[in-house]
Amino acid sequence: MNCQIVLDSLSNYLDGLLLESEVRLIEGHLSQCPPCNSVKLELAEIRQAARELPLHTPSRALWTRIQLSIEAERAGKKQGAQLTERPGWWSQLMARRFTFTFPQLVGASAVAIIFFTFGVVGAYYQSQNLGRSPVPVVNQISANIVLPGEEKLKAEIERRMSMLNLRKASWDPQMREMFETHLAKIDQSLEHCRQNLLANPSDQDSQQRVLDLYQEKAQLLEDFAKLK
Amino acid sequence: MVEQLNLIACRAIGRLLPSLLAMLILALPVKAQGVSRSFRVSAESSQLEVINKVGSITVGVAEGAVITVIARQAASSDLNFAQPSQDRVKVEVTGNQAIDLVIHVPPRSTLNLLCYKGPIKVKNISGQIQARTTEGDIQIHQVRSPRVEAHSTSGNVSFSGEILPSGSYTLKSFSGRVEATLPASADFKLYASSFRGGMDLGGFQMNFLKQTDKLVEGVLGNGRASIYLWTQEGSINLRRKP
Repeated sequence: MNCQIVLDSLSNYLDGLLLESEVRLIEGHLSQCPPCNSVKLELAEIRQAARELPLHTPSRALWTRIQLSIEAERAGKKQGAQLTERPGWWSQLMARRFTFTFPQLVGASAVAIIFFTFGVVGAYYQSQNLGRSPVPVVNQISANIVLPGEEKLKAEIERRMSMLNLRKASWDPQMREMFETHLAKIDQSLEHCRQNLLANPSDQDSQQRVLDLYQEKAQLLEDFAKLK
Repeated sequence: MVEQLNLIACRAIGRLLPSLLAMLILALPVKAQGVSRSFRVSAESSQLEVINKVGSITVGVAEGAVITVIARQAASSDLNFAQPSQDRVKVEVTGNQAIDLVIHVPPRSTLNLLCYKGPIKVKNISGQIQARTTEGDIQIHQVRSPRVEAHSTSGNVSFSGEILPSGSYTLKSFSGRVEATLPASADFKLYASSFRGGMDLGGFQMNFLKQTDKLVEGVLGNGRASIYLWTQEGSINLRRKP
């Protein structure tokens, strides 16, 4: 047995992991080779010193980082091997194991508590305001303003329009042209007044004007629904 | 041979010509005379509904409890007449040709008039009036009606008459002018709105609840009747009856 083999096996020898026959061979070599025996003694001292050191448990964060880096390495290998068989986003999501550190969990909990608190307080104030004021005149959702009764009017107009579209082809061309012309004019005015309303959503006159124009359109459709 | 053919042709023409002339003669008077129909109705509660496509509707007062309809330059096939009950009469133009209707009704009749392309004129009526036209003026004059609704899409709308206590008067036009001539002593609540055309309130000394360049709300007297004037592009003119 040469020195290199003995030095490579020293760690396992000291840990008691070798077979009896291997132990005999190594011990035979160590008794005849002072340099290898010297290394064995140093290694044994280091092990003894290490045992006497206080035990430190690695932090959870360290474990997490190690775990993630291992998974990333595995995923990289898998991706390389299975480029043609990419799993769907849902299966990827389900396969993924989410692990959080304690500070991350604390932070996430704090954010959730803040959102919950604001939500409850906001809902409370909203309900208080609704209780105090009459029916809100304007419900503004981003840039779109929905007036009270507008949705109903629009639905009625759409219903009449779809009915007329089925019958329009049978009208006299003169009547059809007249209908289209006036409808376009009303729509143009409606669009114009709606722009005015967007510029000043709280203006009740502008609101009423838009509703009046919807009525005007509905009236035109109602009249032409009677046309035979 | 040629002489024989000429003879045959002359005989054929000779036989057909009288028939053709007869048909022409029969056809001409129908168009020239027009259509006239009368309906016996109740003088107090008669109702008339009229739908005309192209042409005017003119309504005046009849003598007695009768509704008469005259459609000049029309054939009887151009109109549908119906009297579903003793007091109700319906007249509808079925063709697309221009037909002017001249109608006389008992003064207290309720009118429901619809025209697509043509003016509507109503005079001296004291029943409820509903008049609607897409293209054409509406003139309602010298009426004493508790309820008037006149609405034109592209024509002018004008009204003159008495304003009855608790009466309701709605005059609307999308692109035309709206005019109302009212007694100086009228007692009403006014809502007038013109988006583009401006307003002239004729010097009525109202108690204004709201007054902008586009909208006026005011009360004259006790505000018993209700007057609603609306136009998108036209002007509004209120005048005092001299």
